[in-house]
Amino acid sequence: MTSITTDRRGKDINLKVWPDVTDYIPALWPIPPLDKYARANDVNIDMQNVRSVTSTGLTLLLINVVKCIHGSKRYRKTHITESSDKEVSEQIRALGFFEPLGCFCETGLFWPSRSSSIETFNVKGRAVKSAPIYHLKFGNKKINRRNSVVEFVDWICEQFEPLEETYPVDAHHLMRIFQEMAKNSADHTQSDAFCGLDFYFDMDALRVNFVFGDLGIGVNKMIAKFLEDDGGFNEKDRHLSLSDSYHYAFKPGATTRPNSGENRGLGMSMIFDIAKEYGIRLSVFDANSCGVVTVAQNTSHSELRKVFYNSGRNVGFYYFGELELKPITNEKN
Amino acid sequence: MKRIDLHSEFGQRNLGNRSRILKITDEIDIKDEKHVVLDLSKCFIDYPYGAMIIDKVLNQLSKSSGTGKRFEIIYDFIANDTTILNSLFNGSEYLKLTNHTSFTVQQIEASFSRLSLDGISVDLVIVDRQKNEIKRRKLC
Repeated sequence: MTSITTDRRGKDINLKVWPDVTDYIPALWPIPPLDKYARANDVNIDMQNVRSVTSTGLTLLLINVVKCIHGSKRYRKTHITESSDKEVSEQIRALGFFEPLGCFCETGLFWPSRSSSIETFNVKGRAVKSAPIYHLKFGNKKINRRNSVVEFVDWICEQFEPLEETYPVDAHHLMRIFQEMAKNSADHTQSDAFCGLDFYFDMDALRVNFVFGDLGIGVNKMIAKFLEDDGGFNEKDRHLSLSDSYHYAFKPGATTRPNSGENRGLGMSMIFDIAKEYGIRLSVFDANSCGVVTVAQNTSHSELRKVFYNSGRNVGFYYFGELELKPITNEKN
Repeated sequence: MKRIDLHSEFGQRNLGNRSRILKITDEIDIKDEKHVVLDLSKCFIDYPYGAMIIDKVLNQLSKSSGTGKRFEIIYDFIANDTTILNSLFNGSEYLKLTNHTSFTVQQIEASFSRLSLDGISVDLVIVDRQKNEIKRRKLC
């Protein structure tokens, strides 16, 4: 949970984060409208009362903070008050929460060197292996953006490969989901992206949570904008609801960059297909809406309309995935 | 028969970019082979780069003399036909699937029907994690 306030002159944005920064709950955090971002000089993050964190939770917080900093025209610096719980404070450092923020801070912020290995933490009595937050630094050149995606996919593979002997997971199938998400961010936005990954080792199963998000405008607005510019599109289809635009996005061959030479409109349909195939519970948070897209039987308008609901406020754009894997048993039937 | 196992021979799973694929196509040597098995299982291949490997094999097969030329592609990606066929063949110059868009299953099949003129038969074999055959699709 968090609360955000800005003073009357709009000098500071104060984020009070507590008590848990886990899972997708931050999606429901009250996020100030963009005009408040634009007036922020300093961003103050009070994490004093944080009692538990995970990679996914921190990634969501990070995306919101970076978005806030990006949106500010007067931004100067970020101040962070660390958690009073020393262990939690160490976890936040180990998960690399500060490092991406350092990229955007001029003064006034410390940031430790990033941990490169997965750390095991205890979150509410459960053993969790959390990967450090992955920051996809795309840069401006097209080739660098695509290379960042390749490096990111290699990293994802490293995280999942050790699990293959014990759990029915094919790292290279999951890589494809992450790769398509990263490619979409690299090709369709100007900004960086972030990924968080948590492995919950419960008695009966392994539960994997992941979040992938960027600072872009989201699929819905992107498609609406593209179709508005497309003279061949019918007037009636220009008034796109979220389910309409996702129906378009999930259709093989539908792309907003038809002449790019690389985008062939398969990414989103692959994300949907693989998530369904693997039983991943995949949620999409897009501006004012969110929904578990894999609950839909197919990608028709009517099915997608059933899964999206209005979150009441802008929550940015990101995917949140949950995957449960039972250990492989050698028992023969 | 020449068998090319990309994962064990080239040691990399992620073949989703141009430079890695170019390195592999340079090393593949199937001169005068009549039966080639390309095992893509455990590999991650992205369009349009995957098609560069397929092109290399098809080009070499078409140059070898005689009849009964056979090309088997083993893949363990389970998805719908459009996705699988596009991820493998989209971008292929040999099959003339280079329109910078995705193709329908019918369009891809039509491209393969031209291959029979070169005397090559192509099978796509979908396997599971233990490499057991799940589905075989005769493309031409």
